[in-house]
Amino acid sequence: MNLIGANIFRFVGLILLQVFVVNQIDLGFLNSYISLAVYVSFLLTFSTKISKYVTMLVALLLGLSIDMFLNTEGIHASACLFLALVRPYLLRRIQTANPLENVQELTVYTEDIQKYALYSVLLLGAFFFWLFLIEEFSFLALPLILVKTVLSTIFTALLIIIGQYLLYRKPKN
Amino acid sequence: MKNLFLFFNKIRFLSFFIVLQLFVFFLIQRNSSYQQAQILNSSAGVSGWLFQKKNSILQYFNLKKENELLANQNAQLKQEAFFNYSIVSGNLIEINNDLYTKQYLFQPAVVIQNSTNRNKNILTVDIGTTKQTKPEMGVVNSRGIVGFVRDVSDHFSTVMSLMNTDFKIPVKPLNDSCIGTLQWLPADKVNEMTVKGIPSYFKISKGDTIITQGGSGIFPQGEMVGVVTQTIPEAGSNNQVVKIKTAVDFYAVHHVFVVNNIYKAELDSVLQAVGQE
Repeated sequence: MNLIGANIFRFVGLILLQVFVVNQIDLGFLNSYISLAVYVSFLLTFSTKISKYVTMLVALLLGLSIDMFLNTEGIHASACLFLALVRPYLLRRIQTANPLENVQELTVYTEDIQKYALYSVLLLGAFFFWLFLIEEFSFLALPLILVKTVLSTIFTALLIIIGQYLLYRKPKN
Repeated sequence: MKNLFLFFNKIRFLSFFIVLQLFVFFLIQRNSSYQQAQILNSSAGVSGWLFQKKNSILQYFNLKKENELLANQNAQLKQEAFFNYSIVSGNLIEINNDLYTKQYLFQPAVVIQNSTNRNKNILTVDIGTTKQTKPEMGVVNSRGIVGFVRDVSDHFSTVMSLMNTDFKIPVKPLNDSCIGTLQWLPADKVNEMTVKGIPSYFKISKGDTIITQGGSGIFPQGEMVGVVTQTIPEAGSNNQVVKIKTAVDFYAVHHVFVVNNIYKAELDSVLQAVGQE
C-alpha cells in the first residue's frame, strides 16, 4: 500500500514538474536541440520487484499523460514503451552484488554512481533516440536525430542524477 | 508444435510491446490526420483547466510587456479612427457607410500554453465553442499572424502555431503581386520561416515586408507575417527561397485575437464548386 501510494505521488509530481517547470525552461537557440524529459526518472527508479508487463503498462500510462499535456500525439507514450522494453535486459546486464528483486526504488544509492550513470544514460539514450525518430519519422534526418539524442541524454541524465542526490535520503545500512 | 509454443513463450514480452506500440501508433496516426481526437488534446478537460490555473499565476510576469503592446495598438487604432481625418472640403468628402460591410470579427483570447521546442508546435487558447470558435479560424496578435485554430472544445481550443512543419499558407511581399508558400522547415529556427515558390525574376531584398495574401480565407489580407532576412536561389529551378524573420516573437505570445471570417463558408462553397467541375 505504501509502495503504491508513494508511486502515485511521484507519478503526479513528476508530470507536474515536467509540464509546469521543466518545459518552461528557455534554452534559447538550444531549444531545438535539447529537450529535457525529467519525468522519465519515474521509470528509471521504478521498483524492480514489479513484473515487467505491469511496468510497461505504467510506462504507457505515463507517456500518454505527458502527451495529453504537451499535445504531442502519442510520441512520448511510444518512447516510454520502448524504454520499458529495453529496461529488463539492461537490468540483467548490470546485475550487481545485491539482488535487484529486493529493490523498492532504483536510485543512485542502491547502485554505485558509475553503474547508475551508465544505466541512466543508456536508457535515456534509447528513449530519446526512439522519441526523435518517431517525431521526425524518417531515417534521412539521422544525423540531426543523433545530435539531439546525445545532447538531450546528457542534460537529462545530469538533471535526474543531481535531483536524486538532492531529493532522496541515503538509506541507513 | 511444442517448439512453436516455446518460441511464442520466448517472445511474449516483445509481442506485448509490439501490441501496445501499435495501439500508440494508431493514436498518433489518428491525431495527426486533423480529426478531432479530444482524448489526447490539451483543449480537453483536466489539462486545459490546469493550464488556465497556471496562466492566471504567470500572467503577472508578462504584464509590462503586454501593456506596452496594447498601448501601441491603441495608439494605432486611434490614429485610424474616423474623427482623426479633418475634412478638406465640405463638398469633396463623403463617407458612404453602405459601401462597407464587416468581413472579419476579432475575438480576444489568451494563450494559456505554448511550445517552441518541437517540430509540431501547438498553442492552447482559452476560448472555445461557447464563444463561437471554430476550426480553421486565424489567430493573430497585434504584431502579426500566429497560427490557426485546429481543435475546439467547449472552453479551450488548440492552435497550430506558425512554428509547425504542417503549417502552409499563401503569402506575398507588400510591394509585389507574386505569391509564395509560407512554411516552417525542420531546419528553421524559432521565429524564422521560409517562403518558397516565388520566381527568381521578382526582386526581393533584405528588409522587405511579407504579408498574408488572404486567399485561403483564414487571415484577412495584408496581415503582417515577417521581414525578409535572406534570399537564396533554389537549386535546379527558377524559384528563389526567401528566409524571413516572423513579426511575432513566438517565445512570448500572450494576448491574441481569433479572426472570424464571416464569408468563410461562402468562400469555401465557391472553391468547392470549382473543385467539383
